[in-house]
Order: sequence, then C-alpha cells, then structure tokens
Amino acid sequence: MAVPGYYELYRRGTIGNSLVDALDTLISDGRIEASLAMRVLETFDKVVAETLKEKTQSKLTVKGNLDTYGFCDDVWTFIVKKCKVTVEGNPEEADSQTIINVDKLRIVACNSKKSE
Amino acid sequence: MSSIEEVVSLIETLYSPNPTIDVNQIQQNLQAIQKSNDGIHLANQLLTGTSYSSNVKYFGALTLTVQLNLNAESFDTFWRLFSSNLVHLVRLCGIYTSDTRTNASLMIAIKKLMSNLSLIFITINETEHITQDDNERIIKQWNNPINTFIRLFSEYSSNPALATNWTNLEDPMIVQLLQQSINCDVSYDDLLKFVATSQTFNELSLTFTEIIIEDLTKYQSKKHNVTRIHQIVHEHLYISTMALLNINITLQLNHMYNITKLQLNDIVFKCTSAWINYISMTRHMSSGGSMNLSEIFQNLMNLMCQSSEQTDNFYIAEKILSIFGNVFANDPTIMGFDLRQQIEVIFLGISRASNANIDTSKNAWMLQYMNYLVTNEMTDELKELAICIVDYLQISNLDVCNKLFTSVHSNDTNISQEYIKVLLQMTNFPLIPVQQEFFSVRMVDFWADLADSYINLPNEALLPNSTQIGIDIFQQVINIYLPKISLQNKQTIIEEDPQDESAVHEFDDFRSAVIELSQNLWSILGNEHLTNMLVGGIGSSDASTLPEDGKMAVFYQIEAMAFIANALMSDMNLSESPWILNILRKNPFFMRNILLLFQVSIQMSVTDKTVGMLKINMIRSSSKMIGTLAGYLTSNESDLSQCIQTLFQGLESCSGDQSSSREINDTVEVMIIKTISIICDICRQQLSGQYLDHFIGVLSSLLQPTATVSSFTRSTLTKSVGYIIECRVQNGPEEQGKYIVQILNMIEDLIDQCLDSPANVQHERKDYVLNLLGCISEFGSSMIHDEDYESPALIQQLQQYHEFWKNDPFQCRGKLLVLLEKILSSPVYNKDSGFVEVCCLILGKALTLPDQDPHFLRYSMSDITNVMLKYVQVVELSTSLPFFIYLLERLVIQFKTQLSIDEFDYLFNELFIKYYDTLIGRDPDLLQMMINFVITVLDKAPHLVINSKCLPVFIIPQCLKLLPSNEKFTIVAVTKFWTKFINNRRYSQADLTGMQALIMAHGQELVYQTMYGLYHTQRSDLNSYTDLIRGLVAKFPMETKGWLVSALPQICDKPSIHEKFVNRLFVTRGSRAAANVILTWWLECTSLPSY
Repeated sequence: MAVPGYYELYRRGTIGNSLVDALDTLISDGRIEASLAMRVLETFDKVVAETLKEKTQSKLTVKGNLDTYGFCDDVWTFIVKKCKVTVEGNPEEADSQTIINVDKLRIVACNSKKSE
Repeated sequence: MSSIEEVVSLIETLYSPNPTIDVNQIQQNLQAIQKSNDGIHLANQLLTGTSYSSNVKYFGALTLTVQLNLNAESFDTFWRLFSSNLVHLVRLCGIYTSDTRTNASLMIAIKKLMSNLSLIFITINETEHITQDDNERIIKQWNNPINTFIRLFSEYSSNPALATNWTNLEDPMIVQLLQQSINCDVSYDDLLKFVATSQTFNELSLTFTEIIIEDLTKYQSKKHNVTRIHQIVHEHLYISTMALLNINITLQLNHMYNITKLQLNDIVFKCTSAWINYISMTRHMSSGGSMNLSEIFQNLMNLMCQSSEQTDNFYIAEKILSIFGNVFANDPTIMGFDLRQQIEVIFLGISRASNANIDTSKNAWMLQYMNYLVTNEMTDELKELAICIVDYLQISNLDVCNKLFTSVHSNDTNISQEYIKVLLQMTNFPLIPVQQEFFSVRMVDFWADLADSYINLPNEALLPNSTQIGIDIFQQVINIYLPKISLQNKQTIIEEDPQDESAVHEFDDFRSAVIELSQNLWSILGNEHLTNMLVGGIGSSDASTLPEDGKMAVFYQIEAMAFIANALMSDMNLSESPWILNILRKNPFFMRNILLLFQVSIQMSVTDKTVGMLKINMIRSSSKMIGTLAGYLTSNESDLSQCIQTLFQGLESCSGDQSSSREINDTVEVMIIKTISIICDICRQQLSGQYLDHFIGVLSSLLQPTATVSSFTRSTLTKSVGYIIECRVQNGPEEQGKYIVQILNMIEDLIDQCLDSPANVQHERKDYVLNLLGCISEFGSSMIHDEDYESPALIQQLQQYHEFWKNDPFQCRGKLLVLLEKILSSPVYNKDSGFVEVCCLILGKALTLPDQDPHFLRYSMSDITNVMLKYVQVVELSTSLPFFIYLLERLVIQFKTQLSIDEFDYLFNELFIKYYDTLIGRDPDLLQMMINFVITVLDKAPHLVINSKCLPVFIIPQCLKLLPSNEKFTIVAVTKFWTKFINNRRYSQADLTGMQALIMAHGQELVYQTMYGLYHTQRSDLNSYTDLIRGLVAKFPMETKGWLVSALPQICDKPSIHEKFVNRLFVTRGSRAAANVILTWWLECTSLPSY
C-alpha cells in the first residue's frame, strides 16, 4: 500500500517513448548502466501515475458505439466505434471544450488502487 | 590512493556543502575503491575509526552495500560482509545509546547498516540450498534479525568493558557470538525486558523491523518470485514485531509509560503502517495463510478512543485514523468483520447489523473529535477524516444496498432506514464544502455507487416498496446537494483566498461530480421525480418580482438547478419529448427565470475577481440551458423571440461593457454566440420567416470593421445565418440564391474596400480580411447539411436547385474566384499561409459532397487546378504547400474517375517533384504530407499511382532512400506507404501485376533499407517497421527470406541472432507476436536491455 508498484503502461505514451529512447542512447554511449535506466523508468511510472491522479483538471467524456469489451486481470478493455471524445476543463483556456471525432477508440482501464 | 586518511578527506570533501574539488572526479575515485576487492577492508576502517564523522561512517556502510551487491558470491566474502554489518550495527547502536542527543547523526549510518542486513536477510532466505556440496558453514536460513540484534546488543551492553573487542572482527569470542546469535531464540519476557530497558533500545528495535519489512515490500513489488521468505517472516519476525508493537500500544493504553520510562513514539505508527502494507501485499501469495492483524487493530482502536484534546490534542487519534484510512482505501478486508463493525459504531453511532448492545460512548468520542476539528478550523484533518469514513462506507456499499432494497436479508428495515438517515445527515454536514468540510464531497461517490448498485439489482429480489424507498432517499440526496453546489459557496471560497485557485478548481470538480451523480440518479428518479422537480424549482415563481435584498441568493439557487437540469436535458431531443415539453409549458416562469438569470449575470459589474468568476459561471449555466431548450423553442415562437432578443442584447452589452476585463468579455461573447448558433441550427425552420432579415441586419452591422466583436463571433454568426438561409427552400432556388448573393456581396464588398486601401496595410486590416474570408468559408459549410437530414421541400425541387447552381446565374462562383485570385496574387496577402489556407478551404468546400447535392461553391476541376498551378509559384510554399496538398487530395478523390494518369503526373510533378530538392525533401512535415498524399491516392485510386511515370523514377527511389530516416514522422509515413503499396485490397489484377513486378525488381534493396533502418532506429520507432516486414513476409515469403539472408550480414555481424530471427519470423502469426520477434532481434543486436 505505501510502496505500491505502478503500471508500466505510460511508458508507451509519447513522453515515455522519448524517455526510453533517451535512456537507450545513454546506455549505448556508455554513460549510464542499464540498471539506472530501469530505476529511472520506475520513477517515471510513479510520477506519471501520481501526476495524472493529482494534478489534472481536465475531464474526458466518450460517446459512441461500444463494439467490444472485456475484463481480464483487473484490466478493462473497450473498443468504441464512431465515437465523439469531448475534453473539458483545460485550466489554460476558459470555457474550453475540444471535441474529437474518432472512428475507433481503444480504452484500456486499469485499477488505480491495484499495485502492479 | 595512498592512505585511509586520504580517502576520509575525499569523503568529507564530497559531503561538504561547497566542495572545492570536482565532485564527479571524487565520486569516480571513491566508487572505484568501493567496488574493488579492498572495499570491505575500507568499510571496516571507516566504520571503526573513532575520530571519523558520521558522514564517513555512512560512507563505510554504503561501501558494504556496494560490496553486497557486487562481490558477495563466495560464502566467505558473504559471511565477512554479514558479520561486519552485524558487528558495526551493534557497536554504533551502543555508541548512539550512550548519548542519543550528541550521537544523533549516527542514525543515518545505523539505518544503512540495518538496510544492508535486510538485504542479507532477503538473500539468505530466498536462496535455494539444494546441492549436496553445500558447505556445512553456509547459513541456510536466518529466522529473525530482531532476535539476533537483541541477543548481540544485550551482550554488548552487559559487558561495557569488552566494548573494544567489537572493533576486532577476527576476535574469536565475537565470531562465536555471531554464529550463536544468527538463529537464537528470544523469549517474550526477554523481549519485553530488552525494550523496557530504555526507550532507545525500543526505538532501535522498531526501526530495524520497519526497515526490513519496507525493503521486503519493495523487493516483492518488483515482481520477484518471492515465496519462501514470507513463510519465515510469518513464523518468526512477525511474531516478534507484533509483540513489540502491542507492548508499545498497550503500555500507552494502560497508562504504564511512566513505570517503564517508554514513550509512545511516531516510530510505532510508522512501523505499524509498514507492516500492514507488507501483510496486505503478501497475504494472497503466502502459502502459510495470512498474518493476523486483529490484535493490533483492536489495540489501535482502543488507543484512538482514549485520545482527547486534554491528553494529546487528539494527536494519537489523527495518527491512528491515518493508518485506518490507508487500510480502508487500499485493502479494507485485511480488517476482520467484527472489527469493522466496531469501527462503524465509532464512526456513525449505528450498526447495520443490529442496534442492540451498541456502545454509543465511542461515537460520542468521534463527535467530540469532529467538534474539536471544526472548532479549531482544522480543515485538512477534517478532510482526512471524511476520506477515511467514506472509504470505510464504500466497503459495505453493496450490503447497504441489499439491506435497503431487497428481501435477501431478513433484517429489520428500520435499522437500514436509520442508517441511511445518519449518512444523509453526514452528507449534509453544515459547513461550506471543499473549504470547510469534505464529507459532502466524498459522499458523492458513495451515493453514486449506491445508485449504481440499486439499478443493477435483479427485479425479483427487490422489496415491493423498493421504488418508493429509492425515490425518498435519492430525492433527499439531490436536495442536500443543490445548496451545496451553489455559487454562494464558491463566492465564499474565492473571497477566503483569491490567490488559491486549487480550492476553486476543487469546488468546480465537486460540481461536476454532482452532475454525474444526478445523471446516475435520473435512471432511478426519472423525469417525474428529478427533471420535473428541477424545472418546477426554477419556474415555480416569478424571480423578477423578488426584492433586491436576497435576490442573488435566489438566483444562485436557480443557477444550481439549471446547472443540473441542463446536464439531464442536454441529451434529450426536446422537440420529440412531449412529456418534458408539457412540464415546461406548465411552468410559465421557467423560461422567464432562466432568461432573467442570464440578464442578471450579464448586468453584473465586475468589480473584482470573485464577481468575474461568478458571472462566467452564471452566464455559462443560463446560456447552455437556453441552447438546450432549442428543441422546446421550435414549438414556442414567443419564447424563441424572447430568447433571441435577450441573447443579442447580451452580445451587445458584453462588447460595450467597460467594467469587465477583456478576457471575461471574450469568454462571455463566445458562450453567447455559441448559444445563438445552436438556436439558429435547431430552430432554422422557425427563424427562416420574419427573423431572417433581422438576422441579416445584425450580421451586416457586426461584419463592419468598426464592430467590436471577435473573429469567432463574426464567423459563427455568418454560419448561423447560413443555417437559416439553407432552410429557406420552399420558394425555389432563386429566392435562396438571392439571400446567398446578398451575404456574399456584403462580405466581398468589405473585402474589396480593404484591398483597395493603401498597400501598406496594417496588421489589424489583414486579420480582418482573413476573418471575412473565414466567414465565407463558414457560410459555405452552413449550406452542407447532415447526411440524415431531409428537407421535403428541397427534395421536391432538387433538380431545379441542381440546375440552378450548375448554371450559377448570379455568378457567385465567378465573382468569388476573382476575389480569391486577387488575394492570392497580392504580395501583401499571398505570403501569409492563413490566406492560402482559407482560399483552399473555400475552393474545396463542395469537393466532398455527392454529385447530386447542390452547392453554391461547387467549383470545377479545371477551376481548382488552374488556381493551384498558377499560385503555387508565387505563394510562400514552405508554409502554404500543406493547404495545396489538402486541396489536391480532395480533388483527386472527387474526380478520380475523370482524372487521367497524365494529368495526375502533371499535377504531381508541378506540386511535388519540382520543389522536392529545394523544399520538400528538407522538411519532414512536407515530406510526410507528400507521402501521405500518395498513400491516399493508393487507397482511393491506386491505378493512378501504379501506372504513373513518377512511380519508378521518383516515388520508389525516394521512398527507398527514406526508409532509414532518423525522423519519426518520415519513418511512419514511408513504412505506411510501402505497407500499402505491397498490401492493397483495392488493386485491380493489372495493378497487382504491376506492383509485383516492381517489388521483384526492388525487393532486395527494399529489404536491405528496411532492416538497415530498423537496426539504426530508436526503440519507439520499431513498431513502424513491423507491418511492412509482416507484409513482405506474407506477400513474398520465399523471396523475402532470401533477401533477408543476404541483407542481414551486411547490417551487423551476428549470424546466430539473424538466423534465429529469420526462423522465428517465418513461423510467427499476428502483429503483436511479429513485433516481439523484431524487438528481440533489435535488442540482441544492439545489446540494450528489455524494459
């Protein structure tokens, strides 16, 4: 509980990918050990999860046709087709609402309370 | 390094606040010694030197950590490290104990040694000792580090005269003592005696067990396959620790601290938390059953209820509630049912199970505690308490639901009703949410979950009166939340600390959460008990007759109800919901009060930040409500007229409002114009009569350069007027055409006036022209209706409309084309890509429409291509090319059957090849756009690409060259091109043959460039190549294998890895599996780790 492991899924996001690439370069150049890169990524998992939980104001709503859904290992997966994604509450922009129309959206939802 | 003194000096320099020498160099030197074979010797020297500082001793302990991680393979070295750690720990603890204040800085080294021992504890107990040749001396299990510590430390303390022996690690007496202490037993009495000797002994023991268990939790969380150690911990360390913790807590409980000189310290709570975390994490994986925490929970609960303002200012209560909060938030069932029932009574003064034999004094304690927090304005602590209690309530949410609504439990329903009453009271905590209390905020989740559980109950299990029970409860919930989300509370929050935006955001989040709750409750309460109640609440009386005093309070109430009602009604199609329409009609003041709320908020004079924020909230709620009511307005012309009038008055006043900041006015303007646009869209039929001329008049004045409205307002209003004109079809195309021409002329005249002004145009003037062009584009968009929209009047006259716009008797297109060319030929405008963008948007507006749909902007292929070819040479291509590509893409899609291959080649040459070397090839964005254009054509009209002369001489050579690009966007585009080129379902037989011939000719080069690019690319780009490689393997299996065998050795010299890769690749199916094979090859070739 106090020392939870964190999901590694954010490593596949844009920031995570860039970090992994940078760490690969540092390892290839012999400037850091692989073990340090692992530690950096563990810290990244923690910081992203906590930041998204505590420091975000935006709300995202999805409306569309639920095509497929599944629940396995405490992970929900939804594939929503022809959906409208609405992002609200960007604190930088007053009264902002961004609507994105997406043909197919895959939602992977993990239990935020579960450690690893 | 010549001497130990030199090392000590370097360490001191390293840890000094302002090191005089390069720190990196010092670190490198010291790390080299730490890792060397002399590491243990150095550590011992540093830890035993009496004159050395705590920093030096810490470095010594750290050196032992390094040695443990690097050089502990042989048992002898491991034993040296083990004994060194134990001996130094005991000795340093002895020094620390002699004078804790003077030696406080030693704790850092002591904790490091404890951490080393926890690593040793894990290593010994997780290593399997199954081989026969295991050395007899090898320690196969270390049961209990606490016992070892107590035994050794007791020895050390009992013979102070022998203290010097503890500096000699080779001393036979010490060695023997160490060996005997490893798995010694310490009885409960001895343990009690030891910790009672001194507070420091007690604290050191607690710290040691806390460090071990925290390290073990971290170790477990890294997914190591740990099992054996949990059993050992359960049988030994757990027992000692629970004894230690319970001794500490019960001594406090029984007020015996004075007798034993011990003091309850935070370490007890920290250690307890660490153990709860560990047990929670391992309880499902330990084969020996779960470690029971009941005794400690019971003791903590009793201790909590002893805490008071008089004794400790509820300090202990706060600490224990934090532990319970952690349990309820993460693993509530770790606490047994009986204990949770006791907690329920403490928290709520009532039990779901039975009200008999309830000790209400404990709830009285809780009320006292709450009272203390409220009186002393300890909002953070009150928030923690609210979180703890609501997390607790969530555990039994389903049980509460079953007891309330079903016949599953044959319990007394009165108890459940009483229980809910307590929860409702708690939700209605009499303070300002977010700022002063958090119960109502947290309870939103509880009620939402309860509603969800109720909705999901099977009908056959429900009590006969469950519907009524549900309505009674959830209506009360809504009634509690309506005043809670009032902007009056927001006002207080902002006024309390105008700089603290986080509280305001939190309050806004609370309001949003209540919206979601209301949407959940709607499924239970329906329109009858929720929407109607809100509509009735808003429209029950005339707010215009209210006295000034207290008027705002009523408007805040109306706003809160409108805020929720809007969320419920926005998804309803009001024009097709007679029930709601009927209710709206029955409440004559509803519309009037909403409009009044809008007017009052528009008139609010913004004297400070608070008013500004409230004004925006009120306008947002009222204007959104008006927009939501558009469906209702279609059948209520008088209300429609009133709404339009009020909205335009609002628009007018906000552009002339000098009291508000520009930022507020802009926001208000956006909200109003969006509402106007919604009404024009939905009520277009009703507005297409007498209102149209009025709208055109307003538009005409707002389009003027002197009007102080934003670009967004101008273009949105133009689009809104367009909606109305689009609907004006009953009198034939000529009448509609006249309106269109009127609008176009109005805008074109204004543009012409600007173009005719002096050449040195100002920046504002350019923006204005751009805005007017944008209005034309939006006007064109408003004439395109949804696919499912059907206008009977238009369908009847479709042919006439089609003919009319084909002939374009008013010369709309021609005149507009002249204007656009004027813009594009002017050096003042054509260097700005914004103008090129909007011109392309206008020219391509009707390109996606079906042929039979009439549109005044339906330009011919030659019109568009002529413009493109003429102006591509004069515009600033680096920024404008994307818009030409956009237009060309739409053009090719629309005219794919009419476009010849020669024409395609000509256009491709003129727009791409001509500028490739000088521009496109150097700009990854343009490169990506060009390749994406080719991909689109491959998808929509593949014959144009396959038969193009540009394919073999330009497209294929360039796309081969680009495969090993360093640029992510280029890699994505070019691999997508090759994938589409190889695997395209739209190919005809002739296309397929052409593609195969080209691949056979370039396959070897393609495979080489792909694998070369893959090898040199970054990890994040690997997936881009996967589909291409899969496509090659699927479509050209035999050839690809040969090409790979030939290409791979040229890329890197690792034949066995290549062989494995090729073999696996050709038996792998599925995208993910192929990606794994490719990743494995890449990792093995680059020697990078797998994260």
